Amino acid sequence: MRLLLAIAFRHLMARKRQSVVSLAGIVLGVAFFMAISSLMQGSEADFIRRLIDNSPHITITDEYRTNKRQPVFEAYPNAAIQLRNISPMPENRGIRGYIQTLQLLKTYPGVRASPSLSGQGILTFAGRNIGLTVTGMIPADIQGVTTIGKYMQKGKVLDLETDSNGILIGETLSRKYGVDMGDSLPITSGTGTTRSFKVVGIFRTGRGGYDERNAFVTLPRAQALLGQPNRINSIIIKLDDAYQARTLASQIETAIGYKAESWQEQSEDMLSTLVIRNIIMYTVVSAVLLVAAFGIYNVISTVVLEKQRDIAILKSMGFEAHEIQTIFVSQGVMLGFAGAAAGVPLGVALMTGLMQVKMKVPGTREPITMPLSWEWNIFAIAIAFAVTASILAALLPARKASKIEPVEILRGGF
Amino acid sequence: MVKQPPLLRTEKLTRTLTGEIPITLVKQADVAIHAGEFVAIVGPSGSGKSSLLYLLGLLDKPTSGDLFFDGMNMSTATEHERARTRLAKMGFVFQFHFLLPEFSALENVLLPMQQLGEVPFEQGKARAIELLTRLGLKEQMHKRPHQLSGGQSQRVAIARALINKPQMLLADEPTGNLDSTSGNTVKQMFRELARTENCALAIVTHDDSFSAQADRTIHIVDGVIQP
Ligand SMILES: Nc1ncnc2c1ncn2[C@@H]1O[C@H](COP(=O)(O)OP(=O)(O)OP(=O)(O)O)[C@@H](O)[C@H]1O
Ligand SMILES: [Mg+2]
Repeated sequence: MRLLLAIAFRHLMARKRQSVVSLAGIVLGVAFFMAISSLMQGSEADFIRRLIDNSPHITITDEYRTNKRQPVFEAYPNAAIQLRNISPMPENRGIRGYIQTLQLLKTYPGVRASPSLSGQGILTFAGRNIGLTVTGMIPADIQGVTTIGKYMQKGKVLDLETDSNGILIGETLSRKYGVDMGDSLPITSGTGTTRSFKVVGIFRTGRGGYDERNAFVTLPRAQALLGQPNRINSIIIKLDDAYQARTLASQIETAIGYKAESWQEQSEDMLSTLVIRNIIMYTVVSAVLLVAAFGIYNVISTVVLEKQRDIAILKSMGFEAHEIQTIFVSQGVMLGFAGAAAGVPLGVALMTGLMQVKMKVPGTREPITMPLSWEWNIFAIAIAFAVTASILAALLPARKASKIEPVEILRGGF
Repeated sequence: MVKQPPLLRTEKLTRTLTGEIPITLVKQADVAIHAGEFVAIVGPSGSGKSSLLYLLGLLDKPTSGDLFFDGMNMSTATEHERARTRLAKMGFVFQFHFLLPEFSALENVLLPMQQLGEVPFEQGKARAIELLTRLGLKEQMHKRPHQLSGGQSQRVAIARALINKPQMLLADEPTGNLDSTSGNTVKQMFRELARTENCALAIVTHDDSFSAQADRTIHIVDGVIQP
C-alpha cells in the first residue's frame, strides 16, 4: 500500500501545475461551501431565534378549528329529513371559562400564559378620529410572554398596575399627534362606551404601522370599554422550550376545544421558504464543488492516459488491477484531502471576514452584522463533500486504468 | 545433463484473436525451457515471436492449450496467482525500457522487490545496488530515467527484472533499440547474469550473433514453431 501511495504521489508531483490548478478548485469550493453554509445556518438560526423571541409560542384564540355541529344533527344522527340554511346560534364572542383555562395551563411545567382581550376603539384627539386596536392585559403576565418591556421608550409596563386608568401607546402615534406622557385620551368603543385613559408609557417596536395603531390597557378596563365583562379573546403562551409548542398546542386544543396555534404553525409559510432557500443555496455551492471535481477528473484522466506504458509495465511486473485502481483513486483522495486542508483555513478566513461586515439596512437604526454559524457540522460536511467528490471523480479514470491490458500496450510499442 | 522436468512447458499452446477474420498468432506450440537454459526465439517479422513470449510470460492467455510453470498449471490459475508468479518468478525486459520516469534508477529497480514484500528493504536495497554496480551503473544509480542513455536504461531494466531472483527472464528484442556497442554490453550482461543467477532466458531477437550464443533456438514462422 505504501508503494502504491508513493507512486500516486509521484505522479501528482510530476504534474505540479495541473495538480495545483485542480487543487485550487477544491480549495475554493470548500471555502465557499463553508462560508455559504455558515451564513445559511447562521441566518436561519437567527431568524428562528427572533421568531421564537418575538412571537407567542402558542396563541389560543376564541375560534374553533371546525364549526361546531348543530345540536339538531347530534340529536338525530340518522334523520330522514334534511334541514338546510341552519345558521349557528349567535354566541357572545370570547373564550368562555378562561379562568379555568388559565388554571389548567398553570399545571403544565415551563408554561407562562397571559390572557388578553383585544377590540377596536376610536381615539378622538385634536379634532381627529383615530382607529386603534386596544388590548387589555395583565401587566405582570404580559411581561413574561412578550418583548413589549424591551420596547418601552418612556414609562414601564408595570406602571399600568399603579395607575389602573393608564394606557401604553406607540411612538408613531405619539409623534404624529403630539401625544405625550400624562396626556388624557378619550377612546370610544363599538358599543358606544367612552372611557378616558392617561398615557403612562410609550413603546417603539420599529414597525411604523404597529406603533401607530396599537394601545395597551389593563384587562378590566378593556372589558369595560368593549362591553365584554369577564371575557377575553386570546391567551398568549410562552414556553421554556419553544420546540414543545407543537405537541403542547394540540394537547391544549383537545383539552379546551378552542383553537391553539403553535409558532411553527403560524409561521409555516416562512419556515417552508427557509427550506426552499436552503435547497437553492446548497445546490449552488454543491455545483461549485462539482465543478472542482471535474477538475480532478481531468487531471487524473490525463495522468492515466499519459501513464499507459507505466501501467502496462507495472501490470507485467505483477501489480494487479485493483492495485492500479488504488493508485489512481488515492490520487483523488490526496487531492481531496489537500484541498480540504487548504480550503478549511480559507473558509475560516472568509467567515471571519464576513463577520466584520456591518450593513445598514433601511428601517433600522443600528448597523447589523451577518449572522454566521460556527457549528462543527459545517466543517465536517465541507470536508466530507470535497473528499467524496474527489474520490468519485478519480474512480472513473482509475477504473479505466485498471482495465489496461499490458499486452495491448506492449504490442503497440510506443 | 541430468534429466529434470522442465521449468516451463507448453502443450499445443494456441492464441487466436477473435474478430471478423480470426487471426491465429501462435498455433499449437509445444515449448520446453529448462532451468538456467538460454533459449533464443527467432523468426521473420510478424511471425508471432512477441505473441509467443507474452504467452510464456503469462501476460496473455492462450485460447487453447496448457502451460505449466514451476510445476503449476497456469492455464487454470487465477489472475492473482498469475500476477504473483510474474512478480516472484519471472522478469521482463522489453525493447523499450519502460522505466517509471518519476523514480530514480535505484527506485525503479526496487519497485518489484517492494511489491513482493518478502525481503527486508535494506537487504533488497543492498541487492539492487550490487546488481546495478555489476551492470556498471554505480554512478548512475540516483539519476532519473531521462538522464540516462538508452543502453543504461536498458541495463536498469535488466536489474529491475532480476531483483526478485526470478527463475526465468523474458526479453523482447532487448537490444533492438540500441547501437552496437551498448547492444554488445547488454548482451554480455544477459549471459553473465543468467549464468550466475541460474536464471532461464527466453529472448526474442533479430540479432544472429546473439541467438548463436543461445543453448537452443526456437524458430517460428507464421505462428508455428519449426522443427
Ligand atoms: N491486435 C492485433 N490485431 C491484429 N493483428 C495483430 C495484432 N497483434 C498482432 N497481430 C499480428 O499478429 C502477427 C504476430 O505478431 P507479433 O507481434 O507476435 O510478431 P513478431 O514476430 O513479434 O514481429 P516483430 O518481429 O515485427 O516484432 C503479426 O502478423 C501481427 O500483424
Ligand atoms: Mg515483436
